Amino acid sequence: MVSLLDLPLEVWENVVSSISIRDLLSLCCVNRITNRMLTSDDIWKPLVATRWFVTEDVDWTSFHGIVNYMQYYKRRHLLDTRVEKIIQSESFTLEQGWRLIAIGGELVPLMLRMRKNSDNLYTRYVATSILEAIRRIQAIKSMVELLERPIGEVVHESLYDRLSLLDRAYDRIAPYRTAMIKNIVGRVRRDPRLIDCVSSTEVVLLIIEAICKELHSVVDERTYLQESLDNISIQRHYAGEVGASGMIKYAIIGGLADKFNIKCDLCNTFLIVKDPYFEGGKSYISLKSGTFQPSVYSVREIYPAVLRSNPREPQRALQSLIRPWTAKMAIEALIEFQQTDSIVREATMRERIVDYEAIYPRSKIHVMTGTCDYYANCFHEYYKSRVDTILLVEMARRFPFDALFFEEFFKDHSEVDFKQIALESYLQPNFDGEFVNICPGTPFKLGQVVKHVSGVISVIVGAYTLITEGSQTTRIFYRLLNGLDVSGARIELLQQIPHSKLQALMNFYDIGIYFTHFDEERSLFVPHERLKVAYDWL
Amino acid sequence: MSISIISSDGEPFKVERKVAERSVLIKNMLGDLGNDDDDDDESFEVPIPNVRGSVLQKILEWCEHHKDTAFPDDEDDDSRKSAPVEEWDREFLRVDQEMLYEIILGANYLNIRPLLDAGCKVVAEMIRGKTPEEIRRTFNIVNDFSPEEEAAIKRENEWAEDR
Repeated sequence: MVSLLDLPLEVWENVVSSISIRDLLSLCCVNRITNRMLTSDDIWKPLVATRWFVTEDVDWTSFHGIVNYMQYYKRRHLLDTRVEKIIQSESFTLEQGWRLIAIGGELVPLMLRMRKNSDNLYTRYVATSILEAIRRIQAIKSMVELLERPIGEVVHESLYDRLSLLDRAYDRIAPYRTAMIKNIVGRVRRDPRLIDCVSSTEVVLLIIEAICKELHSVVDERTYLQESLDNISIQRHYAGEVGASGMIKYAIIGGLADKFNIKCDLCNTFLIVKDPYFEGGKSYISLKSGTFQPSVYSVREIYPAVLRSNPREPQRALQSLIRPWTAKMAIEALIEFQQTDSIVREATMRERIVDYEAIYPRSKIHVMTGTCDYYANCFHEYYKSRVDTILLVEMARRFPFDALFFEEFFKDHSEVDFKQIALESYLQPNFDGEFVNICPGTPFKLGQVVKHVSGVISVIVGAYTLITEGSQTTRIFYRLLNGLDVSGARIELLQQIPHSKLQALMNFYDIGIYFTHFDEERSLFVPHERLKVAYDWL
Repeated sequence: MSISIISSDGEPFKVERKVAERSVLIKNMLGDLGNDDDDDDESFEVPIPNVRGSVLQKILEWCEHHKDTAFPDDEDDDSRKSAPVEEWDREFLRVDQEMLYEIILGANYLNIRPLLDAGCKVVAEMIRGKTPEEIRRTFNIVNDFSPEEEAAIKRENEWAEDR
């Protein structure tokens, strides 16, 4: 007679994926057979993996080194439960937030979950802030480590990987990127010409072609000019919404080449491929006229151009032209991020690439600037002797959750009391204008969703008045969620809010500072008590 | 081409190739033999030594019903695991426990992923929310722990509230 106990381990693994941990633990108490079978690593390893090893920024080596997966699960489960309670508690403080951030990477999966699933917008805000602080700190630390490596070491995707951690949409973009890489590598491997390639440069050219083909398959090519695809798509679909220089393109190609054991260096103008078939063991690929038209040079071919431009010291000019980037140079270039806002604004694009919008919410535009500044500022201050106190104070205000990190990072550089500043500014909306009491009857209310003349949909988070000097007229300005201050004439109340827009607003990273949730009936976001007190007239 | 699947107790079941290929195991076996669709007279015998006739009949009934169903990709773990058991499958799996386990074992051996998933979900539902004692009763399992052992194990496994 076949019984439940006859099911083999592989079937149990399947069953276990559909029951709760509580149920699994009950099963372990049933008898000796279930106990032996269901406390084994085979059962718990996948559970550990699907709960905590979900994003790319976790340390997989630690996963493989776990000695007892059930015990590991228990430890992290208890940690998560405790942290979740702290964050959801009414009395949560910024100091508690700092202590949680100090726990580091182990909190990332829980924060991701809370950011996504929490009903309370403030809880979402806290989870997002903690998540981002942990990632920013990781990114900064690992970049400092890169910077301190000897000059000449290759920096490619590894650098880009670390940089991506600064991106708010990191976990949404990362799988996308992984898929792109996999597809491109697959295309090259299946390419019948690969066998005939004798030099590494030829393989790199195949890679470039595969990138272009992959881009075309992702974006419907009929609606786009080749050129715009070329300029945009690598960045949009793969590297994320970063309007960085050609550097990014070279880094992407170099990273892919690495998967074929081809070593490349990056420099200002070229992707330098290690290739014994070329003079000096290197070929120089330029994408000056676009990814779709790569040109390959040998050092001998570059030389005449250099000679023309600098006849006196051609050798030196050549050296500076083809000097590979160091980590420091790469980082300096990358901190000059300009997000490609204009591209996103282009309405046709927005309508075409629906999926892209889903992964990359609009709020990112506003956010990207913030994180890039953050990163640029950190490095700028870290590597120079005189620090800009005003800037550091501003950073502590803007990123209160990072105050403890700032204190440690800048301990030899600055006397700024980061913690104090962060505590003072935490949850305080920052207005320059003058608050006055306006009589009831203002056309807009706190938390209402409005449409700006530019088409941007946002939420009213505050208001202030400005008395124009001389004329004595008082004008009311409304502050919107995206940081814009507008007069009432430039916004209109949005009656029917599309579901996707509402979701996008809820994903706004700091909406939880102002509101607790969205009230469907009244069609507005419900403000926190402290905001209600500040704006009893609005 | 017709396929004859032979159960462990020697019972032959004649089925369409499409039905048989719901089993990835059989599909791979047939794949090795080539693809001679033109030859209608040809017949292949596939012995399945691990599954007895009454169980095999039941499994083939499932295969017949689902011969044209498009199931989510095997690798798409999320949608596979989160999807509820569909009504027909649920009805199909309303059998005595022994038969249920044998179907699961058969589906596992024959590599019929969607059937295996459905069976496992039905077992999971029988377990869900029960205390160890209730599980023992439901599945007719004898408790072989001494009272002290049981108390110790229960204490050890008390850490999860309701997740």
